[in-house]
Amino acid sequence: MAQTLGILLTTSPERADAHTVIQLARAARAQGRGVRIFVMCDGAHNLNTDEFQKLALEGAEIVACSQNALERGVEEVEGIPNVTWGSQYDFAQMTGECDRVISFN
Amino acid sequence: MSVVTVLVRDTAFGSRRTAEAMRMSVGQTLGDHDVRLVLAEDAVHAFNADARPAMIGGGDMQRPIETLRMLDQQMYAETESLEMRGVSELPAGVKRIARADLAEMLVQSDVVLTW
Repeated sequence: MAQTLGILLTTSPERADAHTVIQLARAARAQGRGVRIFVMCDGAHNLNTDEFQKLALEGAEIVACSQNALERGVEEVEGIPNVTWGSQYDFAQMTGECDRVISFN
Repeated sequence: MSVVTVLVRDTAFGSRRTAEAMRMSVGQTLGDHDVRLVLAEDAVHAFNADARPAMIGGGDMQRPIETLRMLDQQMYAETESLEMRGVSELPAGVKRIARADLAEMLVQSDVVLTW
């Protein structure tokens, strides 16, 4: 079974973190690995960026902390596969299921 | 079940990030993980009994601390950071951990999440 990389992202799109996460996620997927990303705090703003939506279309699984997204007025975009509005429960599952979890804060 | 260590270094004042890290720590218990919350550097001010970070843009620290305590999860403050900042009293359920022991804890953890 393919290994899965889990990523926690809590910073907004203008920070370099988002760029790094996208590039790392693409590299991992190119190697046949699964990628699961959990966004919370200002990281929720990434949901509405073109690059993040492209990443989801490419197959990365992205879950958002819906509480943080709602606090920041981030609107749910319909029609983008692999993007889920979830909760801390989802991230707790992710930390247990991924082979490695890294955080970008 | 995984051992999840959450290492928080951000100040608790002027930002809700430290409170969010604590909320996330509570959330990790939903995965039946063994959660260890460690505050170091400026984050240890959150454990100062007289501090009220929520009054100046921080978040609620008391609720997650109380919840983690009720859930029998481990909470620590790094000894060296406490001494450097003159924080002497810790809330019930929070232990001191020396930097060398923290290093060992990080090595033994399945997941380390830094804030």
